[in-house]
Amino acid sequence: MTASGEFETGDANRHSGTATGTTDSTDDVLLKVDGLSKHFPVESGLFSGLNVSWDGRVPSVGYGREYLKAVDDVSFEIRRGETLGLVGESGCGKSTLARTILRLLEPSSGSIEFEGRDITTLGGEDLRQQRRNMQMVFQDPQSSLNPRQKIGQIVEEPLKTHGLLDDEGRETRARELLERVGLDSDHYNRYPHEFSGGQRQRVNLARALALDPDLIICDEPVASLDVSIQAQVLNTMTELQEEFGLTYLFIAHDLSVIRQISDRVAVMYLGKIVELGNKEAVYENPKHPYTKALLDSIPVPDPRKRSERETLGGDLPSPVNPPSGCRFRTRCPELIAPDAYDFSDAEWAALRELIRTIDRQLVEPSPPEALRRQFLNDVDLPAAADESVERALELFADGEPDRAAELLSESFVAPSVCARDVPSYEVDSTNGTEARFVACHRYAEETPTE
Amino acid sequence: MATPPETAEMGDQPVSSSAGEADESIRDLTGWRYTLAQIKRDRTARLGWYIISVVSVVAIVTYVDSQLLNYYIADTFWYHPERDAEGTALLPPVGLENSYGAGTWSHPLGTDQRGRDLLVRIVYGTRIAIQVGVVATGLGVIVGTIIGAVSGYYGGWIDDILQRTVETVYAIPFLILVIAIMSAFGRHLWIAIVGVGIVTVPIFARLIRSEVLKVREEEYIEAAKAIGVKDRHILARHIIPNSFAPVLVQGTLQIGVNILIVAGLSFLGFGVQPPTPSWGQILADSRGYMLPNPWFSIFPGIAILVTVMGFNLLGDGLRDALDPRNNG
Amino acid sequence: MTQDPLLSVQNVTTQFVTEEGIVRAVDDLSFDVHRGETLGLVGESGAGKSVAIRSIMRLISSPGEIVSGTITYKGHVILDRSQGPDGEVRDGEAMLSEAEMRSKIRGREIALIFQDPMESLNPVFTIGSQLREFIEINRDLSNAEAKAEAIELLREVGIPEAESRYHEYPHQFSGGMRQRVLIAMALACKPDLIIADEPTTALDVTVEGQILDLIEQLKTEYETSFIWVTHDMGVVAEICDRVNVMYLGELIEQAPVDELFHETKHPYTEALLRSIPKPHETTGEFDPIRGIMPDGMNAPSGCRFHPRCPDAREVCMSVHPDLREIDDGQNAACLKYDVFDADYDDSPPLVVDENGERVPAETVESVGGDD
Repeated sequence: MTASGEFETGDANRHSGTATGTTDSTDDVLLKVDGLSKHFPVESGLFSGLNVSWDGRVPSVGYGREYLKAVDDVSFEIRRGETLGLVGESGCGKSTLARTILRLLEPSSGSIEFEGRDITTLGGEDLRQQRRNMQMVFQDPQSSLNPRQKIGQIVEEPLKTHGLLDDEGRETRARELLERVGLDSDHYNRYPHEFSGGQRQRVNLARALALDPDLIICDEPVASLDVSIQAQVLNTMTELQEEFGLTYLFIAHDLSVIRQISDRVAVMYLGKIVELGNKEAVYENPKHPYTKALLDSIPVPDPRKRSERETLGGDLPSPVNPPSGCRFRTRCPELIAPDAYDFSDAEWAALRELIRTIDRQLVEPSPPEALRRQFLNDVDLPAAADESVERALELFADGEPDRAAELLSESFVAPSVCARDVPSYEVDSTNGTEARFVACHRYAEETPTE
Repeated sequence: MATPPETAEMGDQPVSSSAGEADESIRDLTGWRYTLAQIKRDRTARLGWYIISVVSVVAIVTYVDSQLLNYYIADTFWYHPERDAEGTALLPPVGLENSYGAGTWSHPLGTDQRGRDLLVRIVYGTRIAIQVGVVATGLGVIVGTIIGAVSGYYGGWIDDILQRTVETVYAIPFLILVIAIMSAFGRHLWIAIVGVGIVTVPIFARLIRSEVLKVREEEYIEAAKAIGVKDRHILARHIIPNSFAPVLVQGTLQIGVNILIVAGLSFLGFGVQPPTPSWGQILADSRGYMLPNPWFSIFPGIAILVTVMGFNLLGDGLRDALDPRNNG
Repeated sequence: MTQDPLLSVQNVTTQFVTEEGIVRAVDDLSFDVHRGETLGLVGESGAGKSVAIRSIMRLISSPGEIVSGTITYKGHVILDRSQGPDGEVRDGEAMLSEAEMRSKIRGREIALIFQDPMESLNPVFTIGSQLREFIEINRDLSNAEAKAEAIELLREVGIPEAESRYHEYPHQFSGGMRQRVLIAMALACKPDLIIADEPTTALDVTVEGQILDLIEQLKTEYETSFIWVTHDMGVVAEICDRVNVMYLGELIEQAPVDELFHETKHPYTEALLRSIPKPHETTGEFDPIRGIMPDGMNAPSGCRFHPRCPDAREVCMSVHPDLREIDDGQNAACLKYDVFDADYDDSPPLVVDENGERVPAETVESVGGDD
């Protein structure tokens, strides 16, 4: 298997492993995505690459484009007939990933293989033919149907585009498809605005099915529907999968929906897959701290389980300048202590709390002793560490919170393995025979021999 | 394409969030039927519609008579609008009197400086006005829509080149440009039409481009691409029909404006050449006689005013009917 | 529950006059909010939740109109309106004027938090200046005092680097941070009641968690009451004390939160709870409510839920149930309970097709029950 780090430029990646999980035979792999990245230039235009920095006395001018790393080095496989759930919060790049796989966006690097055929650079008529095999269901039932076309025209368009069937045959097929997705064949002559959100999503499904594709990528297909309607549409999707032998890449932010519909689950954070594995394994025994945090933060629809929810703090970092190493490290509750200091767990926890507080300036500038009392009362830091802390606290007290945060970050966060290396590990699943992928240095020891 | 042109071009969909009832209320009408229903309810738009209908019928009849029948109808039942008159020059309208005599019912609006019947000249001037207004605007709409849609859809260097070209045309004062074109190619009616068409292209190109920039972000465009629909079909089936509403409004208003431009050109002597009657030219003729005979200028003025107003009223009505904000 | 309620809503009806007819978006709505409690207002889209809370704030504008009802808040009569037989609406004398609503109630006594914080913030002014101005106007503070107060509030709602972010614009804030700003604005006048209209719906689950934590913390600190409008039963379970469930403009169940989830009375609530995908167990399939939410214009006769109801009987088509007490503190509008005395038990089961049309019992074989 190809190492996922191979396509990463310049990153010293000691570990390798695909996020695919090991499969017994590669025959049933329908889609293979390897090291796929999609970077957008932050601004386009003649002078957009020009950077003026006002830090010094003389403004320094530099030229160099910034890129938004929407999808960065993502690898996975989808097997024929399965549903791979892709879950992540807004801004994690899951929609960009879907569009890049479908070649609606041009990949920046990496490869996409469909049934063993590399479609990364396919163009023109070849790409147009390839599109027959992969379809998409979109999120917004309002905007995904042309308001000026009748339902019949919408469902027939794929057939027409690929020159399949004659007029009559297309109409028969369209009516049949409408019935298959739970609509009435009489809806053929209606316009989209006459339908509810759930029904429009069914029209979307009918259009996607028209060419009898192998793979359907569903981008948040039920996110904008009421919960009772969601369930109707999801049931139909499951039925269609069995009937047509479909393979789904099902993208959602709703972990509950993903759990019910997927066979395997991939969790994305800030452009990268952080965990991928068998659904039950991921939900019952989440390994990555982000997966754990996601699962813990869902409000449970049962007032007797109120206390079970836990909250993940912090904000999503900018995908233009993502954190080095593990992208989740800025919010991670399980950040690994740097080797240099030999902290105890309690010391490290107290110190992290202090770093977080100063970094986010959650308190007003106050004398070092007060902050020490508040955060480091019970712990006795090693001398080398204590010196840095003292200097940072003084800076903070002097009203230079940014420099204080910088100093703390340099001393304690940067040396951590989480900031130095991009994590990428395959671990043995405790639940089933399949290996699973976890992008967290906590699982470095569990990596099977490479 | 699968979409009938009327459906494609006219009318905004009433977007209602509620589902699938089949009652025959206005909300459930689609495309141009919805737009028509809206306009019928709008009194001023209806007035505009009536004015345009009357003017158009007059224009068609006079066109047939002048182009195909060599003024047979006019000659038989009335006066020949081009020929020098047998009557008195500058005869006033009915009920007025001047040094040449009193108005008679045989020349209800009086006669011009050559004794030609003014009513006939104005009526036969309609054809030029409508012909030039509609054809020139149509030319502007078609060329402008194609340029704007291509420019907005593809973006990049195609957009840059097309937009700079369009802006260059836009930057030249329109009257000067048309006069320049006519000076270069001759003072024919068709040159006037093409000239006016060219100066209106930028208006529509820019208008539709801004709409296309919005529409191309819609998910159904992405859906069409995912299906493998070719770019020209995406433009024709999805992009243009959904960005056309403002062009329709602007086009209707622009017909009025173009009628004015052509009247202005004729007034300056750059339009249709005499003896073919046109409103601008009648106005130009009346210049020398205006003071004792204001009616000579007023009647062609009224013709221009009413016609342009008709297009403006209908255009405003269309704007209201097509505005998605009014369909909530 | 013995003390006077903070807010009392009685028989409020709001309708919208459209070209096609009259829609009763809120029909005969009655409920109380007590001091310090969080009242959930739950329903799917089209249930009338948003119209209900806008009616409380008297923010209904044409073509909508509140046609009848009484709303009292801490002795103020927010609404006292009745409809005569001629259809004319009459206001009671004690009812606050529009100017009084503006100066006394909105923002100061009852604050609103909307779903989309971007629409509630002016994009061309900084976050700080908007918050400061709001405080300045409503609390008669000087410019400098208001600024200090604004920064304090931003810090309180958990905005990092409050002092520097005071000078930033709304678009520089993430969705969660903007919602925090709105919460800060709502808290600025220390209102006794905050009405939150789906405030976490647009947010990611981890951000939603942060906001829910913040609300929980503020509730204990300020003792504010909340009306929390949502469609998310998870959020309801998390923060509400009592819950009102709405369906097509009507309240169909009122219950303390534990009873609502564990001793559900109304079939709609039951079906709604069943239809939620479970995050913590794999069920493998979904249990939807059949049919679609009917148009408010063509509300079904009798019980409005009957075409979609698994428990519907013939009687449900003709008899309209009002909200009655079924159990201690728990009200529901369903004829299957004895208090309605509607011969439900003797009525034959109602069978409907997918369009909600009644199917005579003998022709029935199988009914496809979705959309």
